[in-house]
Amino acid sequence: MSQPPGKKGPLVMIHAFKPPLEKDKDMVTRSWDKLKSAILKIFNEEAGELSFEELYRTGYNMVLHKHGDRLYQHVEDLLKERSQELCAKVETETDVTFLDGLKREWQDHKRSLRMVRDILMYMDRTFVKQNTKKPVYDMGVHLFCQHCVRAPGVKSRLITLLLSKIEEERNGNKVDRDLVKNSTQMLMEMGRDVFHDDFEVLFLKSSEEFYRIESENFINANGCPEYLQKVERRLQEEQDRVGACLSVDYNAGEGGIKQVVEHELIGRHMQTLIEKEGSGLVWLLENRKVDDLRRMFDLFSRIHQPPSPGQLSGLDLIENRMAEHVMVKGREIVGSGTDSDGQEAKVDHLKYVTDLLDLKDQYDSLIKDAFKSEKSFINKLHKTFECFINQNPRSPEYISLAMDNHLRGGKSQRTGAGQSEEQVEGMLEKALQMFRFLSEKDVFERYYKQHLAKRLLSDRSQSSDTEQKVIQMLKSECGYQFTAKLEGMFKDINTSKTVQEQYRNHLAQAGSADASTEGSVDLVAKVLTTGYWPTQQTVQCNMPQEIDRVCNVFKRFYLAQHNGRQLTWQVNMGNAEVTAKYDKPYRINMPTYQMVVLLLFADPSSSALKFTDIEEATKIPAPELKRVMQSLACAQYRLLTKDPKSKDVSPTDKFTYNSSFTHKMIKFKVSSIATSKETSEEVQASRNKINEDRNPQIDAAVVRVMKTRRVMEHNLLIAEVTKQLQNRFVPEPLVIKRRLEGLIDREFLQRQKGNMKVYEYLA
Amino acid sequence: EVGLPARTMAALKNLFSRKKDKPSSGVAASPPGAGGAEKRDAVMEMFEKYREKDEEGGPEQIGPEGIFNLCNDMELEPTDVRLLILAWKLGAEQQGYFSKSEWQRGIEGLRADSAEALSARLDSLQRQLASMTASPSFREFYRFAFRFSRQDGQKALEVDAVKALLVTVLPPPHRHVERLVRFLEATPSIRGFNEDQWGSFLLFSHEVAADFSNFDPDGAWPSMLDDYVEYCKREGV
Repeated sequence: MSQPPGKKGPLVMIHAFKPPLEKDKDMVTRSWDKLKSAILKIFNEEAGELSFEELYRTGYNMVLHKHGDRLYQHVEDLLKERSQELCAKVETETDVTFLDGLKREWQDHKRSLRMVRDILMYMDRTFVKQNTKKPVYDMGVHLFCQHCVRAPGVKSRLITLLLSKIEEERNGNKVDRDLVKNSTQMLMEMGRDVFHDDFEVLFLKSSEEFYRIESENFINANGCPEYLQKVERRLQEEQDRVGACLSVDYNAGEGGIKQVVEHELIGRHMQTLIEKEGSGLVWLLENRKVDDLRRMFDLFSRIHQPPSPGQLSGLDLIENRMAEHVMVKGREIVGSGTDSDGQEAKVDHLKYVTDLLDLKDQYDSLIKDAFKSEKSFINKLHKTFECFINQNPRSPEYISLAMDNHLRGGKSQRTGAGQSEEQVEGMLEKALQMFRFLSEKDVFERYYKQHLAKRLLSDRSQSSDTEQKVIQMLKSECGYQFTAKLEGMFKDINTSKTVQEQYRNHLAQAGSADASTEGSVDLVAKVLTTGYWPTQQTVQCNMPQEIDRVCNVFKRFYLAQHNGRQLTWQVNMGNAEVTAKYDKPYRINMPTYQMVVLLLFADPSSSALKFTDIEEATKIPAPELKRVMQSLACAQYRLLTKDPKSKDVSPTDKFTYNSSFTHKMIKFKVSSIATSKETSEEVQASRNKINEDRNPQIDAAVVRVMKTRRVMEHNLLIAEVTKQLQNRFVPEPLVIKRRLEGLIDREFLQRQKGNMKVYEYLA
Repeated sequence: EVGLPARTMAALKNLFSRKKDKPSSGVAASPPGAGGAEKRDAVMEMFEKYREKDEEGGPEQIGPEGIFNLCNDMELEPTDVRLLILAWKLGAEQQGYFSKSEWQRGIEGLRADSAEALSARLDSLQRQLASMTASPSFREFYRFAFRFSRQDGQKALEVDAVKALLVTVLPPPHRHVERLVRFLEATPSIRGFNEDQWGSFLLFSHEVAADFSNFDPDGAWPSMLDDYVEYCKREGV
């Protein structure tokens, strides 16, 4: 039943049980000799003549007769010898043929082992298993590893050659990748630990050094963008290389080759790259190099753990440096309100706001395009804006002025051309973004109210839809309270239109006692509810008779409809159209005060009037009157002449009708109520008023908190009150403390007996 | 000055108590209740001695004159703190006057039946208070002093009165008093103290070290005391 020669394949044959042979010892030796010569033949690739079945049976018998350990030992010795032989062989190879040779011997050896394993499979399955020894194949590999690959003459040569091949390739030369791969695969097959201890450790170390040197050379010689491009390429190459040459997964985790390379190429140099003169982060941001920035972002995001403790991750570095830079740019725009002499700086407030909006746009788009709209970048940008915007205490005013400019249909700062409604709305939305960053929102409210009042009263608002949109935006930002008064102002204007119509009808009715007489004055009145509009102190002035009469007519009419109300004429907010005859008849629009003064000169026979005369006649307060006279006699349209001809008005000056006045336009406007920024005195006054207004708000917040909490410790109370108010302004702890003392005095609160630091609510 | 407008000695009348007609004094052993009755009588005798005789049907009270006399009899200056202690113990409502009920309750409570006894009692009270300025009863006295010294209807005590009162009620070796007085003199914007500031100062004087080493600027001290500390640090006192 023998098999034809050369054919392999285990055949399980069932033999009758044979009694143990007497010639035991002999049998063992003979059996082993047979096997040994067979194995040697296998080694010499002369396996063709062997009978698999017979050999298998031999092995089987040995094991069956309890000689498994002898068999095993013999095989082991044999394999060990063989490995040593092979080792000697390999050692004779030259460097050029070394790897090839080793590979060849390894492949052959494996083949041999497979055959030996097949022959001795019974031993593997029984004896080896029972005695938990290494199976034949594994034992063979292990011995090859011990006595060949790890032999001193082979090991170091192997590793050195491998590493040098890798380096060669890194330097751009072509290398037989398969050869390298086979060698590393062999090491892997010998055990992960073999691979790691013999090869990987050195591989990582040499890679580290290689890339360290390379990166240092390169970074000194190149700008940031070029370096980043190179790194990107290098990383890709290394990934390919590792896949092709080594048997490791490039992306495998901690301490692996990927981390090493990224650390050397990127991690060590992040700070340098960012700070590079003329090509670093700031330069890239300023010149909007989106591709390079994106690359930097991608590469740096790989560095989660910083190179040394206490430092930041890659993205944090970028984020911080960007924020630093934006802070610098922001501060340049914002200044601090005073320049180097401590004098109030001259500020173009419209440019101020436009510059801020431009800066925000610039960085919004950079974050979107280059930094993948990373949330923490956006937050950092906002925090930075918050910081510098509030460093200039006049920011709220300027923002309101900029919005005022747009709402009046102001020209675009940049192009000088008019703007469409959408453009305007876009600008206003952006301006509101800035509003969100303000910490003193109550200051903004105050100015916005003032500017809105001027717009509404002088009818200069471009589009009431746009105005309403802004109000809605403010309402959703800050709540109903913030915009209630503003909406009241709109209501008043609309109501006034209705009232005006009714008044016209009333006058038109025939037989009405108030009907206009020939040559009388046409009055358009707006009725404002006191609480809504910014408070102004107004002083009456003596009006010409006809004006007085007409005003009273209106007043009577209105009060007849609305009993119980009180009307006060706001003479400093009105304007008049006056027909004045110089060389030709002009129609001049001017504020009420100017009109009153000018009418004093209506009589052609009137002579020069002194300042004091005018003051006496009109009862306009002196500081205001000075401004009025300046606008009539020293400004663009000199409707009066002043004697002396200086720019300043003094109480002894004399004024006369300027008979030589002429202008090409028939219709023009004198000193309209333009919106300008406040003088420093006015700013101070506003600031005082704001601070005053804040006190009751603080009190109210304290009472609200204490009513709920009943008992609260000093510092906690201050924190809670600050939190409640932060949507409008940020109160100083010292100010809150003073208000607390006031509330104690007014018996809203008391201190807890025995504990000064705790307050109790007094119902 | 504490509580007394000045009257000249010359305007004083000599007030003598009207001796009541007592039953026979030959009784050797007095019945138990009689001791109390005698005491009460002595108290009312004193009252009669000092009370205002001016108005008919007017309120029964001891007026400024009487108090002045009482002070003489006790050998006290009218500005002495012991008079203030007396006012406190009597629960006097109004400066310069002790009502009948205040007197009766108060003097009985003090267990004094003559000016000398009263004087001795006040002496011991003063020593007591001076030795335990952190105690609740001193705190009570301290607060009383403030309220008592105020003008009617005012919430605050004006600064000159504050200075005098502090020195009277918290004499040396009390910390901070002297310096606080100097601070008040240097800060004319402070016109007076409210109750909170007055009360807080007592606690302050106990808690805060003379060199301010344990002063907590974030503490809830009234801001006037914060300013005081700043002043001392600035002036190097």
